[in-house]
Amino acid sequence: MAEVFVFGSSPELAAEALACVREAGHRAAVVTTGGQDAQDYRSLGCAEVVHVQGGNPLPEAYAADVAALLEERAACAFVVCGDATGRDMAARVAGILDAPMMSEASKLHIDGGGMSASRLAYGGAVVRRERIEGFGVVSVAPGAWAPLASDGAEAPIVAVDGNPDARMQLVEVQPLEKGGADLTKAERIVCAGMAFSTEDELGAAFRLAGVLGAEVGCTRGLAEDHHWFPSYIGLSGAQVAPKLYVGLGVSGQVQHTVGIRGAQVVVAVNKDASAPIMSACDYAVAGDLFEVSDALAAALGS
Amino acid sequence: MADVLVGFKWVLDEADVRIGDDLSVDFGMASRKINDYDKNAIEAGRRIAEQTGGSVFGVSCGADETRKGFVDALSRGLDAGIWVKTSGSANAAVAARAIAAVARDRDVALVVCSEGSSDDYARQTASRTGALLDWPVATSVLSVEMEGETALVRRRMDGCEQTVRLRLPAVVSVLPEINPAPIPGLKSVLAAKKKPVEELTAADLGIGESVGIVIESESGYVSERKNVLVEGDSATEKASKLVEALKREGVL
Repeated sequence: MAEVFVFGSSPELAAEALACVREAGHRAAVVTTGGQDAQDYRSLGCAEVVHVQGGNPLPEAYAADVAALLEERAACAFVVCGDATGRDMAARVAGILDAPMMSEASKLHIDGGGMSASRLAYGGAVVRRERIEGFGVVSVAPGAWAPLASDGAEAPIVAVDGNPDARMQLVEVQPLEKGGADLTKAERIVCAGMAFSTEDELGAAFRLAGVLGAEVGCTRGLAEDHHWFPSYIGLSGAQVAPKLYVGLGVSGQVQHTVGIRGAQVVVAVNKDASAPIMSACDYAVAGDLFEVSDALAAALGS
Repeated sequence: MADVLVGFKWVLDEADVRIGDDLSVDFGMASRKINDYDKNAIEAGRRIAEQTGGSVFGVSCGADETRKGFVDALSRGLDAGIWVKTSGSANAAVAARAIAAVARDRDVALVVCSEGSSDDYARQTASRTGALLDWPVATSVLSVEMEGETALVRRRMDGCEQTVRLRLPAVVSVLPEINPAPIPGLKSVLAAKKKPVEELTAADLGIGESVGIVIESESGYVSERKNVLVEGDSATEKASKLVEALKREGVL
């Protein structure tokens, strides 16, 4: 049976890609590159860890080596957990091999002839089922799969020599300032929308989050226009899958709601009962977001 | 090596999609636009060309309707356009082949793309283009500083910012946050009509249009949410009803 290879820029992300492939009925080998410690990937539930050695800490610099590996091993698929590094790696490999690639795929099926997956198009308004015959590259969104639960058995490491691209050099890494929580892992999220007009008003969102044991997120405008948050939830931001999402003053444009489709329960609080999110949620509360969130915090506190 | 090449796409406006009751997808009434994120990329390319003292060209692939997109693109500060005519809308793989072919023939220091277009949002074009050219690539870029033989770029990654140095020529994909996209004034729009647009076919460039992906089906996305409107005479009453419902859901 032709092999499936996966890549993730961290063990957790690699484990998510493994879970996706396992759901598609296959076991996979993990590829790691110079800056990654292959030991960290042995017990994820993979068949083997192929470590491409080299001095460059940037995984993207090894795309040519990874492409050569996939060809040599006659791989049938390369599945990557697509954080920024993963997406870049996957698309470079696809470019080198002139292979088709499905980005942000869900419901992946791998069969003898090729693979098929579902993808969103047009900002999330449309779902497509796409098929690739033969070898293809797939990226999956971080957080779309829970990391594969493994029995801890250690896979062997196979080391191969790499020749990373020296024309791309890492100069510096700076952690993001406001130390926002990882929303893709949050079980509960309170999301602030553009109805908030001052940064002080966000206190209401934080109070509710405190009582709920939730993280606070926001829609694009609060991060990119107001700079009140370092990141946002949406099509070009974070995709989240919490048990509970509470949108306060979020209108629910599709560019945002695409980012919360993985949520188990969506609650929307908005003054405007005809806002898009009010008909695309589980529970809609029409009313003043400050009154409602304070009332909610009080009801939960008791 | 001072010129900048910016890729842009003339897309169906996703706001115009009509989903039928049977979930069929209808773009019959849709107008086209330059992908919003490409507008930021065009402005970024223009600013980078100012750094290098070179020219900035816009390249776009697509069928006949694509030609119209050049008026808008050129009004945004591009010096000239290159239209690569394909039989249909070009996906990332085809666009990358075209951009790479165009870049090879010119004295390009940097290829600039947006992260993705609003129709497919594949986020592959820049990486594929770099792979085809065998040039270094940086994606998710927030800033570009041209340093002669190299470019210093800042990338937004998960939880951190990475600064990398790329040897030129190189390819970058930029986030819309790199810079705003100013709305062109009347003078720019008028000037745009006088700027040259070179027309090439995929065949001229020797690039294939096969993509290896078949779309088996396409339908409107259905939100499978409960759509319960929480009723009550006061915020307090609604809140208490909501809390009950969330407890039943098991999410509290």
